[in-house]
Amino acid sequence: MATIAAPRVRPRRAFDLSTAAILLLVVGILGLLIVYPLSRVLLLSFIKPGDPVSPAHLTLANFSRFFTSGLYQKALVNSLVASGTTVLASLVLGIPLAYILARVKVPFREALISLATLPLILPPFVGAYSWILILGRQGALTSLIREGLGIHLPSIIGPFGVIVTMSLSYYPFVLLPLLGALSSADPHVEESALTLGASPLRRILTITLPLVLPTIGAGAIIVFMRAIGNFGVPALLGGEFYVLPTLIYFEVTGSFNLHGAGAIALVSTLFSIGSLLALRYITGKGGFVTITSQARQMTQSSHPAARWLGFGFCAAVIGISLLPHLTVLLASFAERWAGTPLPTAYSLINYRKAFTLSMDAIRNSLVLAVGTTVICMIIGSLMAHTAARKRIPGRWLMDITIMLPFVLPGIMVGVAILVAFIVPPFELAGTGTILMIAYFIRRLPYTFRSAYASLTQTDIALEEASLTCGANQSTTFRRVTLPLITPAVAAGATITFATLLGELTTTLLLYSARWKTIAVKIFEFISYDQTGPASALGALLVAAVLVTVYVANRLSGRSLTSALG
Amino acid sequence: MKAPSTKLKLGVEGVRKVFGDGPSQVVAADDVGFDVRDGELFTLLGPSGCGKTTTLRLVAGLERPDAGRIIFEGADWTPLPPFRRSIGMVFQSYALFPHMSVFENVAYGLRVRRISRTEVGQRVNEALELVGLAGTRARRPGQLSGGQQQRVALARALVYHPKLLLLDEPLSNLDAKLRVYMRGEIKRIQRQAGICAVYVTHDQEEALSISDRIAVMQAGRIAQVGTPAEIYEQPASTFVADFVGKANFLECTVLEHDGETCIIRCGGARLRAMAATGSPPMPAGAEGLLFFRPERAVISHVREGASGLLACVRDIEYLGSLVRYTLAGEGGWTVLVDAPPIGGIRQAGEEVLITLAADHAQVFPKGSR
Ligand SMILES: Nc1ncnc2c1ncn2[C@@H]1O[C@H](COP(=O)(O)OP(=O)(O)O)[C@@H](O)[C@H]1O
Ligand SMILES: [Mg+2]
Repeated sequence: MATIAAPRVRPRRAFDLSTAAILLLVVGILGLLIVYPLSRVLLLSFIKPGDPVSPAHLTLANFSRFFTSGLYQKALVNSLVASGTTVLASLVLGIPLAYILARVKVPFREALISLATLPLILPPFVGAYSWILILGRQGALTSLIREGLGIHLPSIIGPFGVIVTMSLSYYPFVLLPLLGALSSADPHVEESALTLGASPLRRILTITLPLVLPTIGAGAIIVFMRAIGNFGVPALLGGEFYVLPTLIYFEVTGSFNLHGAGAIALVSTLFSIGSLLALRYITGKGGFVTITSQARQMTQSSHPAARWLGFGFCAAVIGISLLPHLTVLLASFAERWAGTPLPTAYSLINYRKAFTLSMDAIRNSLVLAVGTTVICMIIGSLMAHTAARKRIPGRWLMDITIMLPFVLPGIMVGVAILVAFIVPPFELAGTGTILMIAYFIRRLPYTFRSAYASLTQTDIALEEASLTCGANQSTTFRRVTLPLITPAVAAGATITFATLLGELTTTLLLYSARWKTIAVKIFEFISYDQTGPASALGALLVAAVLVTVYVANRLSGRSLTSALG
Repeated sequence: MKAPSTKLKLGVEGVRKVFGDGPSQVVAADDVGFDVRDGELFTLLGPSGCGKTTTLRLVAGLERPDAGRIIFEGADWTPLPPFRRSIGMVFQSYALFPHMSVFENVAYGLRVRRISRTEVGQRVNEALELVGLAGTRARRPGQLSGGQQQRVALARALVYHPKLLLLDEPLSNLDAKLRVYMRGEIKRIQRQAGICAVYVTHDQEEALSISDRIAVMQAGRIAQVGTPAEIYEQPASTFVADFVGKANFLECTVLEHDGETCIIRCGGARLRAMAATGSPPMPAGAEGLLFFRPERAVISHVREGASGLLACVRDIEYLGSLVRYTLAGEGGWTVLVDAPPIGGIRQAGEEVLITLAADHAQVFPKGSR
């Protein structure tokens, strides 16, 4: 062999200029837009308002109010009670629904499942407001229930309304993963229990339930995280019933006490992080639970009684959960509707009013949502590619940083952006930019995770094949990688766009007169008791969200809701 | 059509690749060196995990070596990325682009080289014809059978006339019959294109049938390089002997050693055998391992005075073209002997004599691998 003594050199690492540039971009974006604001709000919460920001002034004073102020204590207790009850109610709704949909040949099963995913995409505060139309003092059903059934329902303003609305918005987080788990569970396990002589109930309790318990637990934790961070619903329906997010809002807008707000946000974040750790413990793999509405066929009961009873139950629960959004639609065409089951006069006047008063808001919402979605698509896929394909140090840190704003309560992110970007050197208060920043970091995980999942599922050999065919890295990314992950990125982008159109939580903290959005406008209409225009705008928002998701589903030929969660 | 010449094309020199660090470190390639000649089909053969794919990926530029060089036609390829090396590669999973038609897949390498539209069409058609797939241009890879996908992958790797073809277990996803057929096809296409090729497989039969030369790999190192006949007839180690084909090993004692051949005592008999190529000289009295292939031994009735190993038929496997006997000797050893079923089949329990021609038996020093 013609082997000359080979020089023992260590060639350059597989680390080229483009990787370095992208890495710099990633670190810059994550550091500036996520790490900096969160650290700043963390810092401020340990410093008394008015004191200079320096280590000498660190104090726990902002937190002491949880021991001294009745309002703080009540908000904390209320948050825990409302979220806990919401979890219970979601389990009560979600578990039977999932079991029936998985094990009974329910008529219109696919349609029911699609409808059941809608509450996750539709803005919950529109639903919340609509409950006032249905069960408020002047509500469509209030007198009917009182006089017809003799039942005195508790007032919809207060804990009852908050819990009902959140439960009906969040039960799909229990239903959908459980449905997936039940449908794909190995039928043989249950059948073997049957052959061993176990009764059906015993079989459910001893075999089926333990198998899916982690799935149920994970769903419950996600509901808890969402509920304890929800701002819109308690803001509209809470009344005197303060929870942590509304208390934060109160501190910011009422007394502009950002330090106090930061302290509350931090306490609320501790619950979220605690839930997250519990979730990681339960799912065991350290990943996040993915929601999917795909289900493999397995033995289902086709007894007619079971089928139609099951259908009745599912249709009732899903129907009630979508009732508020239907009501908004009806109310948008109502000229007069007070105390009667149906409106007494119809017209388009609400739309006329809504349009003349909120053209700017509609334009703003579209500009912000489209702009942010496009940026999320580009940055999200670039980051996903870096994370999935490059051997970079500290990759897990990047994952966590991107996911952080996703799991933190929206109001916390809002406060963080506020404290970081309204002071020098940024001074972005009231601009569209500050809204976009908040939207971007909260929604980036949708495109990032879709693209990342899609990249990990595509064979690396495809990209390597392209390289060996003579294509360089950027050509390979453009001609091979990008086309392959486009459907997934589009799915993430659709969810991003659809949920940004009606984003309320961070917007309410950061908007200005120049940058009011649809959600802000609806909130204002409701505050001034303008239920007509509020309904018209709400109906438009719901319609826009539905059309977006429907069109995107059609174009891509698959369920986009898989990008949720 | 071009037969292999002796002109050197590819030189792999002292290449080393380590994955991971700390205690989980894996040395996937360790001081790997070999040459590939013009027009030659050179095979890397070895058990799973021995570093074949890693070596091939180092040649392709998909991995960077920690030490050593890759030389092609006198130029140093080591620092070049894959797209600056003139290679075509066929992946184990084929790695066809699922979002492109067969035509677009094959055209890919031409497109990125900015070849004119008319020439692309013409050359893709030629390539598809070469692999016998002219009728599937418009289809998607997902609509093709495994064998067809394999051919598309081959066409895609050859269409832009690379100087070196790399194939990583290209037949492992095909069923047994197609595998035998396709290996003939690959050889034909490689010859017709006149390209030198590095072929990776863990299937020793495939390697013997297709290769001009073979490098047997073991735990990241090259165990032997040679023609299929050399590898099979004169394995350089017991590992190669055992991995390529079937092998019998018997403990023996060296009585005399004259460099080429030696006299040994084995199973109570005195036998002549070759000393294994490349093994250190064994002094008289040294322990050794006698190696022979099952089809190279002859069995006969026990005769007085004949020199050979006495054994008893333990088991008989009728394989049609031959009969495989498991023979047991005194002292507990067993060997396999294949014999054509001519003149009757021996019975279980029958006493037989195993005779070995000296040039079909080899002695390895004991304890070598
Ligand atoms: N990217 C990698 N990271 C870590 N270890 C690897 C990697 N690629 C291969 N290895 C390890 O290197 C060894 C050789 O692998 P490989 O070259 O794929 O073997 P073969 O192709 O002969 O089966 C194996 O132990 C394998 O686990
Ligand atoms: Mg391999």
